[in-house]
Amino acid sequence: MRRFAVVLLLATACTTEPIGRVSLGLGDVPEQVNSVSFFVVDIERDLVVASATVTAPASSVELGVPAEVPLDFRAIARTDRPGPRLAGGTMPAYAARAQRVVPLGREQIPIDLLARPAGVLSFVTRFSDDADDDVELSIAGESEVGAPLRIRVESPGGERAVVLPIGRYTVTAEEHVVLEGEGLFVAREQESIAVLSVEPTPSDEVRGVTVRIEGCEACRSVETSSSAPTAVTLTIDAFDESQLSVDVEDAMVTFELESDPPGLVTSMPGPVTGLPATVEGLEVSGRGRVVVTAVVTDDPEATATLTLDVGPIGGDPDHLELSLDAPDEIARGTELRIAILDADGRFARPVPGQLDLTASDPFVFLPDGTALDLAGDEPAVLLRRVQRSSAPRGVEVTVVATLTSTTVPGTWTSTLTLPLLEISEE
Amino acid sequence: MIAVLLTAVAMAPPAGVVRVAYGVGVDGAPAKTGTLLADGARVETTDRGYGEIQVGPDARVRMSALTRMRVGPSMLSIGSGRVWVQSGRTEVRVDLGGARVVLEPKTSAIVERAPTGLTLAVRIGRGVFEGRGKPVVVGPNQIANADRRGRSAAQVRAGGDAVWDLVVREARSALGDVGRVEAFVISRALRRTMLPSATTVDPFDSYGDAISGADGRASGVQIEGALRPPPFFDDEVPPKGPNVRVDVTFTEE
Repeated sequence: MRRFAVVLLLATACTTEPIGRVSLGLGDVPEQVNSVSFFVVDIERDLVVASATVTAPASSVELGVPAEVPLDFRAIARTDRPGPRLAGGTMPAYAARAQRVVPLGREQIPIDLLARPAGVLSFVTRFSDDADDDVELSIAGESEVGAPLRIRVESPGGERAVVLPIGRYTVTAEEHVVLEGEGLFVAREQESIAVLSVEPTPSDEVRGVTVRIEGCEACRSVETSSSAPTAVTLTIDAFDESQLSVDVEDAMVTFELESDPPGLVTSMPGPVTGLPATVEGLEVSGRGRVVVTAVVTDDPEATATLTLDVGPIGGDPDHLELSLDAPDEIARGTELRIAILDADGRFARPVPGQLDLTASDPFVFLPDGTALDLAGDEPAVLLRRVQRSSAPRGVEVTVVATLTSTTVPGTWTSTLTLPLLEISEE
Repeated sequence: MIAVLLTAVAMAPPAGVVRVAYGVGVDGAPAKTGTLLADGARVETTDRGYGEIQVGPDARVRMSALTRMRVGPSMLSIGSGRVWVQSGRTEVRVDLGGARVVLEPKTSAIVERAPTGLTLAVRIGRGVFEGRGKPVVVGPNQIANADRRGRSAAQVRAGGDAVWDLVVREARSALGDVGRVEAFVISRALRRTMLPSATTVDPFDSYGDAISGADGRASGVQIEGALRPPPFFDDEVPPKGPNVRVDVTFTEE
C-alpha cells in the first residue's frame, strides 16, 4: 500500500495536475469493507443525480453534480457478506452522509464524509383507512447531527430498506402519527426489521382515558391483609392529543372487573358521570391479579384498563417476576411490570437498592432509563416504559432486570423474552 | 394655462424613473435616462440589456437581461427575469405570480423568477418570502428557493454567493465603462477587416442575425462569438467533468 502511494506521489510530481487530487490515506479502509458506493441526491427534486462505486481500498471518487442546489451526499461501505436484497444484496458495514451546496465555479470542491458503523433497517408501512395514500417519513437519529433522512412511502407500500449508522432512531410523518416510530434500533452489520403504522393525527379534543390508583401514578399493586378487604380509590382522567387532562362533563363511565383467581374483588364501584372522576367502592382481598376496565360509553367512547397485583406483604426479596402490561402493544410501547416477590410468592417487603436493566437487548427501548434507585418506599410492583419497535429478523429479544439490595445481601435477576417481531407485505 | 394646470393636477405622480438604460423598453418604447415610469408601467430589457430604475422615494432596482416587470410605487411585479433591489427608506414588495417577496427598508436582495423556479437571495437586511406555505424569513447571506408556483415551501439556506457575484458582474459590465473606452475598442474591432475575404461587420447587424452566424461567414461567427457576453462568466462555468471529489474516512465511534 505504501509503495502504491509513493508511486502516486511520484506520478503526480511529474504532471501538472494539482497535488490535491491525489487521494491519500488509502490504507484506512477497514478490512471487512469490500466496496464503497456513493450517491448524490438532489434534495429538492428527490432524485439521484450522481452515483459511483469503487472497490476497496479506494475510498474516494470524483463526481459531476449540479451546482447551487442542496445535495445529500451519501456513502455506503459494504462487506462481501450477504445482506438484505432491498439494501443491495451485501451487508453494509459503514455509512456516511452530509448535505452540501456546491457553488457554481471552476474549482473542484472536496467533500469529506465520515463513515460510521452501520446496519440496515427494513420496514413495511401500514396505512390506516383515513390516512393519506402517501406520506414522507422522517428518520432522525438520536446521535446523528444534520437533517433527518426523508423517505416517501405509498399505500399499499412494500418492504423498504435503508442503511443507517448504528443507533436509535425516531420515525415521524407530517400530519400523521407513526405508532411504532419511537426507539427503533439499528445494530452493526445486522438487519433490523419494523412494522410502522401510519394514522392521521387525531383531531378530536379527547384522545383517550386513563384509570389510576388515586394519589399514586405508578402504583400497580395493592397490599391486602387477612383481617379485612382493602379499599382502593381510583381516578379516571380524559386526556387530549398532548396528553393533558381535559374536562368532559357528559362522559358516562362504567366498570368491568376480572379476577384471577376468582373472588378477589369483594366490592365493585358503581357508574359515574363526568371526567375527571374519583371513584370509590372497589375493595379487594386475597392474593392474585385484578384487571379493572373503565368503559366510557358516551362522548368519547373509550376504554382504559388498570391491572393490579394484589396480595399481602411478605419477607425479604427472593426473586423478580417480569411481565408486560399489554404484550400486543410492545411495538408501540407498553409498561414493563417488575414484581419483587419473597420466597412464598408474596410481595417482598420494600428494600433500598438499585434496579438495573442495562443487560437488556439493545433493541429494547427503555425511555425512562435503564437504572432505577430504590429508596425502600416504592410499590411492590415497579413500572418502566418499554418498547420494542424494531428487532433482528427471526431473533427473539429479551429484557433482563437485576435487583441489587443495599440492606439484604443478594442480587436477583430475571429475564423476559418479548414476542417475536415479524413483518410481511400484506 | 388653466388647462395645463388641470392636466398637471390630474396626472398621477410617477412610480419611478429610469436611471440607466442599455436595451431597456418602457411600455414598448425605447427608454433612456430620465424616462418617467407611470404607475403600472411595463419595463423590459433585451437579451443584452441592462437597466437601473428608481422606484418610490429612493429604492433602486437593477434589471438583468431578458427581464420583464411592471412597476408601481414601492411595488414590482416580475413577469420573468432577475432584479437586484436595494430598498431605501420604505419596504418594497415584489410580486412573483405564485408568491410574493416583501423586502424590509434598507435591504439589498436579488429576486428572480425563472421557468425553473423562484429565488430570493438577501445580501443585507431582511426579506420575507410568502409562497403557498408559511412565510419564510430570509436573512443576510441567505437564499430561498421555491418552484415557479411558490410551492414546496421555500427553504432557506446559507449561500447565494454565486447569484450575488453574477448581479455584481452584470452591474460592472453595464455601468463600469464610464469613459466609453470599452465601447471605443469594440467599435474599432468591429469595423476592422479581419481577413482579406471577410467583410466589415456592422455593429448594428451584430445584434441581429449575425449573432447566430446567419451571415454565413465563418469570420463573422468568430467575431460575434468572441465579443458576445457569455451566459456565465468564466470563473462561474463548471469545468467539464467532476466538480466535486468525495472522500470517505472511517470511524469506529
